Amino acid sequence: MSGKKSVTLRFWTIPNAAFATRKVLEYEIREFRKHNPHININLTIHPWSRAWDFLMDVAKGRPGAESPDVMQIGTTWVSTLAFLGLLSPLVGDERAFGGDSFLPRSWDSCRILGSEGIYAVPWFLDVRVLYYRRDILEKAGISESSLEDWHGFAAACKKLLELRRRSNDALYPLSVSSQKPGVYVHDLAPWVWAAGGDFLNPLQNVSRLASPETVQGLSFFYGLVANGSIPLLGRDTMVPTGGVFRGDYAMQLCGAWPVGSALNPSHPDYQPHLAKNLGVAFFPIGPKGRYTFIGGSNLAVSSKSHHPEEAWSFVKFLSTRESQVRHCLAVSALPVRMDSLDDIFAKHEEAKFSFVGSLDFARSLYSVVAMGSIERAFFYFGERVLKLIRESNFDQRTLRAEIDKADSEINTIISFYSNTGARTTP
Amino acid sequence: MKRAIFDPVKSLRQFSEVLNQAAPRLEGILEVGLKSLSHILGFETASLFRWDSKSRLLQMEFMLCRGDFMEGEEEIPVGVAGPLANLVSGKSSYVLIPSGHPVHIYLPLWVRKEFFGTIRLSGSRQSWTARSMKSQIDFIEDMGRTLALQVNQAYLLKKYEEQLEELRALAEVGATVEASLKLREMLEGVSRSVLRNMAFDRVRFYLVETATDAVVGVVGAEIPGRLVSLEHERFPLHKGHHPLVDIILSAKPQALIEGSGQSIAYIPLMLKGKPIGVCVVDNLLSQQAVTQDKLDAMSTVAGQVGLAVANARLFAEIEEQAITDGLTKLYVPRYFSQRLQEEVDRAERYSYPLALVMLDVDKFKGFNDNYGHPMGDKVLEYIGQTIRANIRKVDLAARYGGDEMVILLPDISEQEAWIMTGRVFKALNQCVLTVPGGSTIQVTVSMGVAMYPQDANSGKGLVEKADHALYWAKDHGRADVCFYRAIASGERKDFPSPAT
Repeated sequence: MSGKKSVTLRFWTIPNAAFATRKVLEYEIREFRKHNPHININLTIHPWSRAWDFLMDVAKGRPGAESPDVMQIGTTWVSTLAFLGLLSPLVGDERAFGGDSFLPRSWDSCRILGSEGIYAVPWFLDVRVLYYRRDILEKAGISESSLEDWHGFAAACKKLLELRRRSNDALYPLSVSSQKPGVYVHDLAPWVWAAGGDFLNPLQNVSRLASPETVQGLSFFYGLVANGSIPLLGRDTMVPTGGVFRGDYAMQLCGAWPVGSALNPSHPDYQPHLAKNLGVAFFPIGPKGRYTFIGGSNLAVSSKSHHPEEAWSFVKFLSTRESQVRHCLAVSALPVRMDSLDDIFAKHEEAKFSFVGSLDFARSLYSVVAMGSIERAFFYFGERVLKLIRESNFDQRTLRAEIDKADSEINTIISFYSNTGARTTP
Repeated sequence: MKRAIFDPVKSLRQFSEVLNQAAPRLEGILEVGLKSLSHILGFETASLFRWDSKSRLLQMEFMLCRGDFMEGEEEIPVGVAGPLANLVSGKSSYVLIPSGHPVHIYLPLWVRKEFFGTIRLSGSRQSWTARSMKSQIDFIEDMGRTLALQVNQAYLLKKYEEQLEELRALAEVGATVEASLKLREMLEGVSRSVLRNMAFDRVRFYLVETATDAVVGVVGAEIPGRLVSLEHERFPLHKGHHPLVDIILSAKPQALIEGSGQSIAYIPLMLKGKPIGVCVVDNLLSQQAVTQDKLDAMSTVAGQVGLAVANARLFAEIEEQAITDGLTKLYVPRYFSQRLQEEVDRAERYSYPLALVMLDVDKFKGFNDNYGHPMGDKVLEYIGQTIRANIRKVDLAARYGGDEMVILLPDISEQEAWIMTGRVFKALNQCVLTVPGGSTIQVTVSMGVAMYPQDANSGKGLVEKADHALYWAKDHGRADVCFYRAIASGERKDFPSPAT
């Protein structure tokens, strides 16, 4: 017996890419309790679609809403939750969590833009790269090096479309992997940034959606959808999950999760034929450079926790190298600890090269308090553009009209958030 | 291991017990219900789909796989005919799709006699064959109905709770409105009540200020219960300056802001059919929709607030009248005396100097005698107006009695007071009035000034010293400004009058 008073922590997580979240976290809890037998941990897994609302119920003090002690939160949630006073600020040196081994930039998503306080600890990263089928590219007469820039990439998509028309068994050119239907701002972001565009101005108080550079990025992306390179297969769903790994697509843009599944010989979804033929590359270079999206999940302690000390000690445990490796291998995520990468990519040097290299030009969305609502406006914009494409009404004029509409909506949100437009950060 | 014999009655009882023990919230019932249903019936996956009647889509809300939530979303288009269309219309009590992989069974959920959504249970073909599920379909339907009943109850409970919140907000708003006649205090209380009970992210009040032809922010509240001052927000009341101004000018009824994803709503504050302001509520941070029910409740709140604003303004006007002299529009002596001691106390606490000025109109009695009281009143009106126009916002001026005025200048050095009194003196001495008969006369004043803390350290003492200096000026030729320190120390020669 440790002699310490027994406490129970509520730990809320979110299912991570449909992998065995409960199984791996129950293991981690058991490991943690070996050294902390007085700390019990109740694990609750909330679906992504409801986790936010549960947290909002806690923030608003709705009847019956009980706060977690420790929670997994999306990187773009931190600023809003911290602003609402739901997150406990980290006291002391953040290097207590992982020393200097964390990717330094991963701490950016743990702050509110423009403030010093740290409200979360990075847990794992989501960085997007390009997976492609070497055998299909070869069949279509496409060299791997041609995927390097927008021009070559668009030409490759066209060749793959031609191949599909010629051959019954050919695949769709490109899948933009998303677990959810529709187009999200992080699907669009790398193209917009690579064109020199952005979604908000540097002060984050005016939309930049209608700027020529942003329009160019959006046109390029939706052009790929409109010409069938990224096929629309459902009402909103552009592609089913994991297209390239199910053998339906020649290329796919997504995060690290295939490394732990389709490319992992010990995983039930392992596909040796695909694994043998799969190449991994950076996002193609646009007119103003190369970018990819970086997001992921953080761990935070609730400001309403009655056991903050114990909660932080659990977060600290989940930040250890051993726990990071076990967890990231199980859920096939990219660890925030750079000293864990060799374990994750033990058999995937090419993937490691692409992921680590992508960190150099990866960008995240703004830690702006109203970003959640702005993101949702982008989503509705995406829905409307997909509708145009589905109904064969898509062209530069109609796209521009939708961009102008979304631009106005985002400015409305900003103006109502701050009124003067000057306070989108607290 | 040999599987236990399936006992439908026992299972149904277990299922009902589990549901009864679940939290009475809709989310809890659905989660526990689906977990239990898939466990008892041996399905691998249980998913909840909500019905969107506009798009005729069944949209996956969540999916449980072997008891755990899984990531993934799915939409099922429902045509006007077919098995799922029959489920939606109520013609079928279940839909079994045994030919696919996995095998699916859809059970309907009805809330208040409207199709709410469906539960989809999915399992492998082997498990179906092994469990002879087809023969147990009646039992599955029973379980589905039991869950649907609980969902219906939970939904009603949720609605009831929401209505209760709205009623509580209305009651609190009513009480707040009754409890306070001060505009800001009243709106602070209302903001807090609305925020607490209606679960908005923010609530904000803006009022039309007719004197300045502007819409001005007053106060608001935001989660987690912070009060925020909006006094820095001011928009000219002209179309196109800000969406808020356009809303007020359009005098439209309450509505959601277009393009806000149902996250922002405005509720006009009206009085006798005219817009006097607007209340803005939003869920921009929580990204939750502002529902029509809440919007309707807010229109009742706005009705109360509109009336309360009018009352508070009327009260402020009466209060202002009670402390203001009708002729000069300066404060009355009683109010001045009360504020004087407060200002002296504040000056002592924060260690800053202040000045007190006493002034009166030279030969005012003769003026009244020669030209009549109406002309005397004109002089006093002019004096009041000129003083108000030449002092700072923080200064306090009062009609002390007859033609005697007093001005308190907080946080001011002797040198600054010298400049200030000189400015007021010169402005007052520019008064040229046309008297009956057509001739003109010039009005002059004399002023006495005392400084805190060097001349006196109490309100009463300051008045005495300033009065002393005033009478010194009157005794020494009038139309002058005299600082008490100058006459007390005999430095008058070295202390030139600001009047020069």
